[in-house]
Amino acid sequence: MVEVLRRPLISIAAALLTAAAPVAQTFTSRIEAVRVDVLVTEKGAPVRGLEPADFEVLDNGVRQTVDLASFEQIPLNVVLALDMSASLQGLRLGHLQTAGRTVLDGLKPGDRAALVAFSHVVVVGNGLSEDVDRVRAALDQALGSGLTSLIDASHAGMMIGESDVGRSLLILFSDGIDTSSWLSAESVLDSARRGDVVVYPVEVGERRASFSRELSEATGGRLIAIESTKDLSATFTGILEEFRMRYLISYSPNGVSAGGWHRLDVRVRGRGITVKARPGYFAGPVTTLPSPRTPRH
Amino acid sequence: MTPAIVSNRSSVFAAVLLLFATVGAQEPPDVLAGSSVDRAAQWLAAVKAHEPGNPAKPAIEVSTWPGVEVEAAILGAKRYARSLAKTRPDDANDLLLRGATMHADIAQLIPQEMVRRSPKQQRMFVVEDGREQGTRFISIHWELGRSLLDDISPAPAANAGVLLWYRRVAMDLLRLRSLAEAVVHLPRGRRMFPSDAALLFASGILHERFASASLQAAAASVVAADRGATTVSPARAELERAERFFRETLAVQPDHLEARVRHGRVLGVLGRHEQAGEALQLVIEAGATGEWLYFTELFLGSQKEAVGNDLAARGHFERAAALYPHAQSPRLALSQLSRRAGDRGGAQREVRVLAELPEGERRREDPWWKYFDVR
Repeated sequence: MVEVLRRPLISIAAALLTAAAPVAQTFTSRIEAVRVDVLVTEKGAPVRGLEPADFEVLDNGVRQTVDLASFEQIPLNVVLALDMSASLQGLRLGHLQTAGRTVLDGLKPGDRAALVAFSHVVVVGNGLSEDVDRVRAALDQALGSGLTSLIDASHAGMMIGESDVGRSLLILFSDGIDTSSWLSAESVLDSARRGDVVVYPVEVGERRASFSRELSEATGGRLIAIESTKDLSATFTGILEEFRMRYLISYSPNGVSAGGWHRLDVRVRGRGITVKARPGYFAGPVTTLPSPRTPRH
Repeated sequence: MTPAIVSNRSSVFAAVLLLFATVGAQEPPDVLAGSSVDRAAQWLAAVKAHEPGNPAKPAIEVSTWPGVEVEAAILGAKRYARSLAKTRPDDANDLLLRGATMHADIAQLIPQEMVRRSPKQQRMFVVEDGREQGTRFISIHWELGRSLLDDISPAPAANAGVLLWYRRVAMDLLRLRSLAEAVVHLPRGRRMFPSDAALLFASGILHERFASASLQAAAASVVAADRGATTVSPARAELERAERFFRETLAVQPDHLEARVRHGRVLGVLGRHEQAGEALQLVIEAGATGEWLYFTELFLGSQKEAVGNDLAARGHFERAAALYPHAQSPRLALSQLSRRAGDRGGAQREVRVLAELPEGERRREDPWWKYFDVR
């Protein structure tokens, strides 16, 4: 998870740029702190008890000093984005609702939850809430019908999950690839790299969406492929447990430029230890015209 | 078509999509043994009694004939028409046109379960939400209709009724999403009427649809499962075909607004943003309204975003949102645009607007979901 705190600074250079290119809002930022959500495992089991000094972070290749490494103390923001398209009718829908309720039951005081139920219609509730019963009621009312707007729903889920408070997890369940989104995969992956939500896509069936894999990699999450929804509750519970076992480390960037793409390398001193974190983050708004992209539409 | 396909038109998402399958036709299990009854005479009687668009008992009876018998009847009818043409060519042509109309109605309106199968029938894949859901036989009656019109004198390409039949069937096939048959029908029509804007436009729609995420996914799943092959090419190739057909449509009929919108979109997806922007701007200047203005604003927004003109993109997305206040696509586009600019609050505000929108498909009313359908 990456949370970039910025303080906009007025600069002459920025003002000149704005005058020259009136179509682009341009200002500079200074990154005050970066938060990174990190999963540390050894032989598959989470590693506990690490201190800030145990972490080694390179931001664009520049070594940083980790100020904080918290574990299990920070409340969670859990967004369930669940595919309710026509193919989820019947037993699968029942499994999905049960699994969603299991996640809600596993939340602790202070944790918040939200639901995004999607087919081609993306239905968002009222945002993150500690009122889990309300989320549960929305989940129980969901019906399976329609096409699949996986990409649109991913964007909505991440936007709901982004918060200055807590650590954010998006569980993205789907049984297929996108067939009706407006947004392009590329644009939503771009948003993911700018945000602080860790995405765990869960895909059932034989079809694999490259978008889901790329989204999990971009956010430091993990793609979970299952053949059947029979044990979906256990899958969802496993994700929640794994997410609680992650560290949130924070540092104040030093010796790196404020804007643009920051490549991250997070390591833990010690042999045989596996570290999973997002590969980098975007900081600051777009300050130059991007190279032309091929839109979906 | 099964009744389910026809009767569920109220919800575009309930219907299935049909792709052409090049898997070999199999011997149908229920071909009846040949009959000695004079099918040609029965066929003539059925054509005479047929009310276009409303198959009655005689047409339903024809639909139950085995393929070999109906083909024999058609051959007999053609012989009769050729004979008639020597003295009454207009009556002969009228008979053939009425026959073609009856067979198109049988193909379209009589449930497939009632239509006999022929050894010549090919299969098509049934697709829903990007998934292949099995196969069905393609009705032989579309081809029988075309076969009858081949005998129009002096030449089918010189007959206005033939052109109207090809146009009507083309749009019906697209409307019914019977893309497997459209793949066969449209080239035949274009060979006879190469400059007809309606057939060129329908061809563009077909290939634009083949390039859609849903059909690309379905075609890929068919190939991956080793279930055969489809006539769907990779998205870029399909888009290039669509672009050519829309361009040719506009060359014949420059004021074809829908072709202009679709051409602009396809150009944009192909990465030709400047041309796309120009094409779509012409639609605005032509005074488009309603959903075609909505599409134009959305597509223009997308083009402006692609070249980094976020301010202009925002304006187009906002105008699209104003046209269809319950539509989710412009809200998502605005949210994504804000997020890319580093404005998290703005991005979240747009998503919160979605929470205020009605939940049901019909009340949400986003024309984008029906873009690939023919109106």
